[in-house]
Amino acid sequence: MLKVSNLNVYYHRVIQALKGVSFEIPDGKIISLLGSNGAGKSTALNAISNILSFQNGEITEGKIEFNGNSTFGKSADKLVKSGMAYVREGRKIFSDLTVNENLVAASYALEKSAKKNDYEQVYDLFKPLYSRRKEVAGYLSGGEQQMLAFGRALLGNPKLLLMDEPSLGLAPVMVGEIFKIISKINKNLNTTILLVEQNANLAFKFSDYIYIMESGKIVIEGKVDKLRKDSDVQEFYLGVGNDSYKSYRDIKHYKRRKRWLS
Amino acid sequence: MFDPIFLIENSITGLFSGGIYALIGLGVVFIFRATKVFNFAHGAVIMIGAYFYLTFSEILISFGSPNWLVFLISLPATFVSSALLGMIIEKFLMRPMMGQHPFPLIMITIGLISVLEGLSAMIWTPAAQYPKPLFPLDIDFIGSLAINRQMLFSFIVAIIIFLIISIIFVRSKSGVAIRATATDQSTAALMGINVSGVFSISWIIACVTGSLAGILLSPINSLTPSLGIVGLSVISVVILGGLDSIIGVLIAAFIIGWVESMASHFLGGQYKEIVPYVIVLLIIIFKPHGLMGTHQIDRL
Ligand SMILES: Nc1ncnc2c1ncn2[C@@H]1O[C@H](COP(=O)(O)OP(=O)(O)O)[C@@H](O)[C@H]1O
Ligand SMILES: [Mg+2]
Repeated sequence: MLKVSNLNVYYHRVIQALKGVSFEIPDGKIISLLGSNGAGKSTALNAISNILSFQNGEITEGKIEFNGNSTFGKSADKLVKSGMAYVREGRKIFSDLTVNENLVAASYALEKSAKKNDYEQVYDLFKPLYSRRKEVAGYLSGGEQQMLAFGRALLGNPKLLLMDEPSLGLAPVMVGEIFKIISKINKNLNTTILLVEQNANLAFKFSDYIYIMESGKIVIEGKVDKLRKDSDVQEFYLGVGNDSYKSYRDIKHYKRRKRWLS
Repeated sequence: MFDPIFLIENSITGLFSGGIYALIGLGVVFIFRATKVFNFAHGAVIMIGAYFYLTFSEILISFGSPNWLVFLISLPATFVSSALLGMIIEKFLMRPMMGQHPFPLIMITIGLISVLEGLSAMIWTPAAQYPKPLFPLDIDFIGSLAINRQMLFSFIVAIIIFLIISIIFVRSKSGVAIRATATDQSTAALMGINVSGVFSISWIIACVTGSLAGILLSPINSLTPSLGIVGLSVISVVILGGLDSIIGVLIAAFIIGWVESMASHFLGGQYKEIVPYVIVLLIIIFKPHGLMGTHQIDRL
């Protein structure tokens, strides 16, 4: 579905946010990018979806293939139309448009023009949105905004769904709901999902394969079951360990050791 | 000095120019909303549009075409040429700098004024010309009140076009795309909206409505390469309206049109152009977001 190889990304030509990142997302799976703030997770998604140009960012090296085709030179709206959807960090709903207008905006992702049916599917999945469809979206609660952001992405029937920290700022009940829907979409519609999370427990619970990022690099990767057993991962990411004074930075030591051993 | 009839006539004249200001201001607001660029060259675009109309209509007149044919061909031809002008400006001057701070783009629009004025002086000479008016120059009397029919019709046309464009903006799917892009360009792109297409459309709408304003204004004011000066009154209209608000521009256009007219009535014509700037100064000091503007706008 998606293949990212040796990606280097700079902002403003001087700040290097990604340093040779490679990962792969097979069809139908849920893959997670895990890492702390500033690791470069959002940058990776922005690079994949080709919206870096809006942020004065630039890919200087590497390759991104979506369904076997390079994404370079394709504008973000074309990629979306070819089946890639992206729910951004902080949801980024159009707060001065109504709920329904947000969906109308999203219907540009459909090749044909949207039918009533397309909107109804979204409202069926997210019932609370229907009763508020004529309201300005800025007045929705955080959870409803996440539903709207999610609904907008699903309207275009994506094959690949990129999600950036969907749990951020939501009440635990809401987080549970959202993740239930994520796995439902993955199973029922066979949508491939690239999930970015800071919440390791969620990522471990819902994904098939995990990449862990630190300062613009991938430091650990592996199947969920295997990583769960890894003592360093347990310690640093799952909060199982008892040396709580250790920081994420110590993962570098882990990486060095891993190289040394292999 | 204080003649009620004269005062009413002047008020009406002021409201009539307000209608044209609204049409002109609409173009500035469209470009500002979509691209966050304040187009200082909008007055120059209006001037070029008027020269397009002059050229097409003179050619047709020289072939001895009847009036209806002159209008039937030269109006669409003017709109198409102005649309092309908008596309060219957007594509070659604005788009290469997309994603960066709008300030350099604003400077480009200021430079564009000289370029367009220079070009028009070269092509059409600086001499004043009078394009064929769309409406007769008659004066009607309602009681003892004199109404300039040309200004009345121009006002009606300007307001109708203003309303049509505003309704499209609020109601249609393309309107949603333009507003979504105005709020957040990269997220709009992620909805599948062609953001450069939206920029292009905004420039086209601005240039076409601007050329219509030029066609309406130039037979009244005379056409010279400095017709674009009206753009300056419209700066005050747009700032008073709040930069990104269509309703704001409509209200502000009438206020500025009326105040200008009152200023020339009570203070004399030479003060007419100063008054709007005094108003703008007061707005910037006391109400920096204009009447209806969005609050998070990054001011110049
Ligand atoms: N628009 C931007 N301009 C400059 N630097 C940025 C920009 N966006 C992100 N960065 C920098 O790139 C790095 C990675 O950021 P980001 O991808 O947002 O991390 P994450 O999503 O993992 O928290 C950070 O150091 C951040 O400061
Ligand atoms: Mg992030």
